[in-house]
Amino acid sequence: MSTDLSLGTGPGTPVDQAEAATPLRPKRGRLGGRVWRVVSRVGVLLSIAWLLVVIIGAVFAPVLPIQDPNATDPCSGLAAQLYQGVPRSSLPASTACPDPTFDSRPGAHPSGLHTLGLDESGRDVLARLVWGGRVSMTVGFVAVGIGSAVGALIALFAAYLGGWFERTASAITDAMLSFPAILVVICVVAFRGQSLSAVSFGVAFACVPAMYRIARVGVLSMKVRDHILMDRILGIRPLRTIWVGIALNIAPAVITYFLVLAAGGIVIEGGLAFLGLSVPQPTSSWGSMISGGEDLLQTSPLVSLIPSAALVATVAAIGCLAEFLRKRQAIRGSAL
Amino acid sequence: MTAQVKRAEGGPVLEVADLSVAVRTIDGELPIVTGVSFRVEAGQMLAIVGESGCGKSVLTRAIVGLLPREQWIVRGSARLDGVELVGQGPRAMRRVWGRDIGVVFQDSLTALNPVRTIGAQLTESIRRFREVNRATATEIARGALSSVGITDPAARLRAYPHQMSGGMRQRVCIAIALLGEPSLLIADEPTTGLDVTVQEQILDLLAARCQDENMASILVTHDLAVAATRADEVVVLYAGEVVESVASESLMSARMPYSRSLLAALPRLDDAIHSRLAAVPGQAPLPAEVGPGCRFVQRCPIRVDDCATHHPSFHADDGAGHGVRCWRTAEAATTAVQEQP
Amino acid sequence: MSAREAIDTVQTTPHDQVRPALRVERLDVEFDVDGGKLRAVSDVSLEVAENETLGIVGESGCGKSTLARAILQAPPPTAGSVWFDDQDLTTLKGEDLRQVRPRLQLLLQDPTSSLNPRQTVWHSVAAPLRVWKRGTRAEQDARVAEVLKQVGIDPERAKHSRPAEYSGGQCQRICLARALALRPDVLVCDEVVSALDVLIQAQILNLLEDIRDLYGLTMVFIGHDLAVVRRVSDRVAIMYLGRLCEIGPTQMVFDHPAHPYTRRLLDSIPLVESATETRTSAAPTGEPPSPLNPPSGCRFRTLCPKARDHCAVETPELRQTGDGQWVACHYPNVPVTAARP
Repeated sequence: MSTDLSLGTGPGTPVDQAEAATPLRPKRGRLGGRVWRVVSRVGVLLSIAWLLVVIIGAVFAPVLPIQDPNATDPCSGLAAQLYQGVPRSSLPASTACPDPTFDSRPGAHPSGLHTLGLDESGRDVLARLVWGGRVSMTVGFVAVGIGSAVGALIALFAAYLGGWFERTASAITDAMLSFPAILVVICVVAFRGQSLSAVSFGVAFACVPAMYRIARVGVLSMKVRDHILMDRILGIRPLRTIWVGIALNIAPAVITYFLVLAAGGIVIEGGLAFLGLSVPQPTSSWGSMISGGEDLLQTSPLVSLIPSAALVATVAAIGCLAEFLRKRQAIRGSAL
Repeated sequence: MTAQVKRAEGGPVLEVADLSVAVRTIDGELPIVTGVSFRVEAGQMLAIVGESGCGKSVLTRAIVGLLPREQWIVRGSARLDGVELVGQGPRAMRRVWGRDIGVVFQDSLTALNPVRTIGAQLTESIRRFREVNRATATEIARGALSSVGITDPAARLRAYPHQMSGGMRQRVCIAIALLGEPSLLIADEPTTGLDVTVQEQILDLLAARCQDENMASILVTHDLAVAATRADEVVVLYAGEVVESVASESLMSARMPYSRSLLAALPRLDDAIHSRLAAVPGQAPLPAEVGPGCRFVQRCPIRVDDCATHHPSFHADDGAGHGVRCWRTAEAATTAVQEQP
Repeated sequence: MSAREAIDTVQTTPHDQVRPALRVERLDVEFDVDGGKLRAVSDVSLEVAENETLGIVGESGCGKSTLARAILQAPPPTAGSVWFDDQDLTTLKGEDLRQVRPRLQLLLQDPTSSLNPRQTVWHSVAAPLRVWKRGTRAEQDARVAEVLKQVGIDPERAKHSRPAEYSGGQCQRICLARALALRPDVLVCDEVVSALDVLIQAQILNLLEDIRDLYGLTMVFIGHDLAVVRRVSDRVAIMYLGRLCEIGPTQMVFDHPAHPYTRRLLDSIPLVESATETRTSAAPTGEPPSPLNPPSGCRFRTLCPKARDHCAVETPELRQTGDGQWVACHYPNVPVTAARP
């Protein structure tokens, strides 16, 4: 049964030979195109690098050589008095702080002692930034990740099976989507008390309907393709079809949207923390760090600016990555 | 009716000379259509035939100025009643569309506005050309619909496009294209996707209307049989260039190996059941793959080494205006196209 | 065999002694649509003998694709039965039905949509072998390479290429390879060459014929192009609005079409040879009726030149007009020799 039937073409399959010539592949670009490609490539690399730094910091915070994020510098009290003009000689003697300097005052600028300075309560900003990143990453990637996965899974089965399951799921998610996400999170926190788990749960909960809508559209567009029908004809079991035929195909779109939601989740947590509704004090969070530094904006703006910059950079990096994935998909999609 | 005055002077309605179209890509210009020349006289139907991707739709869109300038570069000349169309701005072209050139596209569903009735779309077109009141416009619209063979036009005027069959919608599109009494009608795959019985009706209608109005027309199609039965002249396009131009009654004696293989690959009603079709291997080169020689060389059954390196020019080698782009026309005429070993 | 004998059906096999591989009895397919039920297929009975190709021809909306899917139980018909290998497929559920699936395969019009865009071509073709655990991994790989070669696709390239990197014709070859991998008994081809250019169409048609001989396939070949269907079919069935009009040996149906609709289809085919002939055919311009609201009695009567009052009242049954040729018409073009048994 190894007869070659390549048809009108004979052995050696000239069909493939004639067609083997590679189709349109960019060889050399115009200058504008090349510059743009380099810029976007650099942007993506920088984004990945920054996110890696934040994630590694978040994961390894307990073992990193950083100070205790909740401990006040023992010299901060004396340093504050010193800074206010009290002569060193009239400062009380302290065993905890034999030699107070300006670098230890609350709101101190970055120095050798504290890499990113001290906050309004004399706590190490770098340590609080790293530990605050832990909160942001937990909410942004773990909570949003779980919520998105649940939303995508429900969408996968609801849209594939159709019928009452899909109608019910769509009705419930429509109802949930009519409440703003931040309101949902505030409600959850109000019920369960201020804690990281409550905020995470709230954010995850808010992500489910959002991801459901996006994934459902993807599943529906895949479901009408003939390869789903062909799987059935070939005797491939539905679970495999759902996974290989549908899930893997909508995965890029789902991952891209997950990133968009992750950025949103981080912003929501930051906002809540700014209002003092996220993790309770003294646990650090970027939002609470920003609000904490508000009173020092005149003298020590860095206390607020550093966590703000971290928040903006993280959200921008995620957005940049999502945009990159979206574009790559669009190119892939156009080749279909 | 200036067009008719000009037509009386004689000369072709449309004269396309050395028309080339290229698309701008991130890597520079990519030629899609190269050096196309033809002419269409009044009352004549010219068919442009080619496979998908050969550039036939791009060519017609270039002539009517439908290609966005940011993306496409059109060179050469296309003169309608002596007026140059290439290089005209969108505003100037808008005056040409409908009035001097009528266009019918393949997809009648997207060609019509889905949220407006057929009547509204027709009367709007009518009032673009003539200063008439609403009632007169409706009257003209009714006449236009019956002239394209639509029964009960009054009821059809109130219908929305989706309420009609594909064949009926295409009739409406033809009616709209003819409203401005254009001197040239371009039909781009007007019957692709329609059933064979409906296709026959639509083609009959197109032919009849062009005859009645002494209109020049271009029929773009992938179907050689459609071209042969309806057109006066057939232009065969391959990989963006004209490879053969022949009167339709001489189509069976086409010389270019590509045209011949198209003819040979058509299933006929008189050959034996289960017999093999003469299939040339491979497929047409993509615009980026075009080599220096003849573009059909890789698939050609009678190629010689020179064919791959030397580009044949288009030449009319007999008095009947039968033009061919091939180095080996003499051999082609005598060699039967068969399945290759 | 007892179950088969128990059911009295129209004997539409070409030779009584040939064992039918597939037997469709009084098949109905209904869909729920806005404002009622659409009966896409109604009361269709036919048989396909082993190693035979049955062509099914009809225009859009005639239910031919629905019939194909109903035969393959995807989705199952509303009523009627499909006999294959002494089993009524319509009575099989779940795993029992899945066990039969590899023996009945399907090819569709849009091959790119039939392949998973994220899987490499190699993976797509190998998937059924893996799922059905046909042989060892090495045997499966050998089989994939073998079927790919048989359809003219380079197996090495298939290992790292996705469907988007192949042309439509090549994707159709890949789909064929996947269908063949499991060595099916029956192959249903639904408009498999409709979207292809004529040269590629010829390649695929030749390939199908070779594959049919090689595998001894029983085929159902569905199409709208009569010339294409004629070439590959031993027998043809003509469908109109969900019903069979005519069924019989290909040559007989094309030479002596008994049903007025068959006649009309044949007359609508444009032929290259007829370019010089002046066209006299005045095709009826009536709008085809909607499948949602088919005419009473004979469904073709609204467009039929022979229709009389009687046609609106009584639905014609299939009657024999020749050896193996059956027609559902009260006033066929060929005299009836036997009524329905």
